[in-house]
Amino acid sequence: MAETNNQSLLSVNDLEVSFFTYAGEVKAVRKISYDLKFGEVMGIVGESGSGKSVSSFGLMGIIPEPGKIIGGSIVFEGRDITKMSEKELIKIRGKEVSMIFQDPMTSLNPVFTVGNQIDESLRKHTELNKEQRKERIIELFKLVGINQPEKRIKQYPHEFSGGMRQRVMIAMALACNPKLLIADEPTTALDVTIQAQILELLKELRNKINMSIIFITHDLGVVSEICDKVAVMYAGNIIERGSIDDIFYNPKHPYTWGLLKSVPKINADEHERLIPIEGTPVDLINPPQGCAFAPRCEHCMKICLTKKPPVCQVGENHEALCWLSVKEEFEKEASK
Amino acid sequence: MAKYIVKRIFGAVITIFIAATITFLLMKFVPGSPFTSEKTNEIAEAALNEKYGLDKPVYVQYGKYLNQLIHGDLGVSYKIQKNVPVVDIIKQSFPVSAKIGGIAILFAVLFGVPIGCVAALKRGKVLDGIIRVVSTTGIAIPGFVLATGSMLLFSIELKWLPTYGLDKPSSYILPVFTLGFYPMCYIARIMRSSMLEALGQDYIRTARAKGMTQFITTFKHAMKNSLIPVITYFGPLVAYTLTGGFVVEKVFNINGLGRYFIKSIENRDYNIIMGTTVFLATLIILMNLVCDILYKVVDPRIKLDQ
Amino acid sequence: MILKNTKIFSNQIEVCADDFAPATNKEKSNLVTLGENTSYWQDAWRRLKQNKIAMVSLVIIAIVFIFAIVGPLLSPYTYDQQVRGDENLFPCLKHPFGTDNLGRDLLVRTMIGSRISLLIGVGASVLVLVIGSIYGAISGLIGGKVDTVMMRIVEVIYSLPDMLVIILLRIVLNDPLQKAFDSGSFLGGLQILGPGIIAMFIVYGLLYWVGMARIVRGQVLQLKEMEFVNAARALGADNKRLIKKHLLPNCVGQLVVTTMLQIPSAIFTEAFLSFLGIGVSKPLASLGSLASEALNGISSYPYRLLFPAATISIIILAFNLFGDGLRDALDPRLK
Repeated sequence: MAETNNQSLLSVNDLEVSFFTYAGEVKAVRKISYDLKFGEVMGIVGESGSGKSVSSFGLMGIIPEPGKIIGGSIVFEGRDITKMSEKELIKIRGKEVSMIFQDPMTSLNPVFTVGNQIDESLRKHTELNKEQRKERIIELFKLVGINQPEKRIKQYPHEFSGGMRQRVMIAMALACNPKLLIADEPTTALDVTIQAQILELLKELRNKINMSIIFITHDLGVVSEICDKVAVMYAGNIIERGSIDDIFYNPKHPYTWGLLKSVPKINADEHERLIPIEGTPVDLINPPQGCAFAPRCEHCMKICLTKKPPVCQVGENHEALCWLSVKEEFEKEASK
Repeated sequence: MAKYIVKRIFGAVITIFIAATITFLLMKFVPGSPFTSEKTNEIAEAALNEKYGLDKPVYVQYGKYLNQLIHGDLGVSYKIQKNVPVVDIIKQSFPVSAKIGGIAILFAVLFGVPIGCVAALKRGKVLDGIIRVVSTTGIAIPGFVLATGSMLLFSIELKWLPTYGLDKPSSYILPVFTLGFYPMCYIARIMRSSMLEALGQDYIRTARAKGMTQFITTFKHAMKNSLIPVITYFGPLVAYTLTGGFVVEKVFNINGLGRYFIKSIENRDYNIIMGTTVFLATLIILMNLVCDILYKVVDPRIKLDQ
Repeated sequence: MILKNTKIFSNQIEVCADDFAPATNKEKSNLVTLGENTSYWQDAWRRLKQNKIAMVSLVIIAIVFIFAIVGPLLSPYTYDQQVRGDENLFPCLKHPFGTDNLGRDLLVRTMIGSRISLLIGVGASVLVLVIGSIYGAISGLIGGKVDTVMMRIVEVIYSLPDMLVIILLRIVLNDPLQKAFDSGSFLGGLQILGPGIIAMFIVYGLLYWVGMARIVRGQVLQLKEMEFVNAARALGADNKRLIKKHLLPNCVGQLVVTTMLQIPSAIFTEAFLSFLGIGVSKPLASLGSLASEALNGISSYPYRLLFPAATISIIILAFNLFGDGLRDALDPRLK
């Protein structure tokens, strides 16, 4: 396992992102905070539209129009990314922080060779000469498991299969030895067998290269395999975060319970059924006053409907955003 | 690649053949011979018909026509310039049309592409608004209106530019402008929308995530992709400039092929109509072919050996 | 009770026991504020209404139609009436658009010209729509060898230089049609139109449907693979029913837009042909023929060009802009 020291690489504080659409302001990310240490792997889990991808685009300053960071800070190695100029950001993107995207079919430019597209990044961020860059690309291709790299770098994206393209994307992301890699659902668009291969590759790389990874997914199974800690997002909030063990063995938020129940298990009891989470996600243009999950929550209480739950420190480095945790504490107090 | 080109050339030859056949058959459908309307008596008409082989059965004429065509012979003019081979008329007048058309195409591309790019990059801003209004209006004005309108303004009212002919370099300005304006606006429009589409693609996000500057993402990553639709317009563009040339040559009194064509329509000089049509059709089909091949070269996604 | 600021909570929290009573389902459902469920057409209409340019264009199109259809009825003159003593007039009260060298009122001629141009535009587009969509749907639905042959034909027609073929056809069709008209063998309604317009329709019917056929075939091929078509098949729908009930409604958006944009292109072509002197037959006037007639005295009577040319440009502009707006409204992905 890669070495983990205690210094914080990234700290996100009260980050807020909104999209200003014709229909109104869509509050995609509503005050989220988390820390990431050197060498740590964090999973961000949530369903579509929960703000997990958008928050990570924010880390690179590439939130698509008409989105904007409207509050909070993203401190990367002591510097606030939200306050950086485009010029400074360009130096960080691809060099310090890089990203793998969800759909490898559309994320590579179809009219340039893959070699050219990786070379571009090296040319921008390193001092290597042409020969060295070529060597580096070949080395990267070997690292991510692409055979015949000399031949492959001259090919166009359409000559690669989906899984191979994702390997190219990974090679591209690793080109300049970034300190932080953001993997935005890197396996979602792939076939199941290819998914496993890519996951295996990422795990392997994690051990080989010392870097922090933010792994965005909606698949808790994937998280358990690769991450040290997890943040669960719902409707733009992190509703629970903690270590892998906290989340899997001692989840505190009803949404996390729901997520865990909807993951298939191999050694499950025959009678145990997968239980989907009922209901639909909330409208982020007019988020409810209280807890965003309340309408879908089996354990919903009166207060959940009117008041936003506070952040509850339910364990060491384990937080939940839920009135149930408050209730527990309240009952303890009351019984005294 | 070679296989594809050969296949396409073969297809083009067949299309040219079909175009020539259609042209021939259509002209044969016209009732009466070209000499019927002339003030000749029937004997003289029959003599003329015999002289030009028009008394023979249609299939004989067709055979002769095809045979001549293969040898680059398009027959002779019946009326406008009696007995002058159509090929000679084309040889003499086409370079004039080609020159204006060529400059107009150059003008349309050199202005249309950057204008479209600027509009896309400044989307929603005032400049984009102006470009959109001008380019949308530009494709709504018929060529002859623009030609006569600009002649009226710049040549007759303001007397800045000559009204007709091509004697001075300044004589080129109005014909080229009026011929190139529509395609320029059209190109600007396609360029704008394809550029916007390209800028919204995932690979642009990838390029940005790699730390590429706005300049590189726009002019390297988006540009090459968004030029592809412009290339597909190149074939229709050539066709447009050739037929649009008819109008410009008529308005500005330029002795190009278009003027001969119109004159031959007015005078029912069927051999010139036929010859010019076949010649222009061949040219357009060949340009389409070139455009298709170019398109495949630029876009690596399309497999060449298919 | 107040829960103190502790290790667990960063702030003080004030709660009472009642707060933790379970919420009823009704209370929960009150909280859900779902966006209104709108149908595809409602949605498209809403988007279209928001598009100011498109709405203005729609109003202009309506005005042009009124101008062209109702206008001539209100005019004291007819389009071919030669008013003695009123030749070559500049625009004045009696003749707001002036008169031509035969003393014909140009206002009413412009109105009639717009009527003819619109008729050609709409008629040709409908023709193209009908032929193209039937051909394309059949080709796409049957598939196999039939499809291959049908598409070859389309390809050949597509690669022929259309303007040249139109000119040729127009010349060729002129005399036979004229004869047919003179002998009165055309059915009532068509008799009024004159051979020029009929020839234009034939030309459009023969050549311009190929683009539409390609679009429809593409859509059909795409839709053919979709589940609901299989479902309809399984329920025993025959091909005719499939085309009518399932396939066409699903590609109707693109059909509407393509047809809409075909109208200005047909008007354009007509104007071009009129300019070359092979458009509508005299004494009928189209906007194109009016503009080209005006060229003879262009330096002395520029207004003769101005009015029909402006009208034609406005019509084409309005249709183009409305078509663009419609495309954006019907298929936001295409934007």
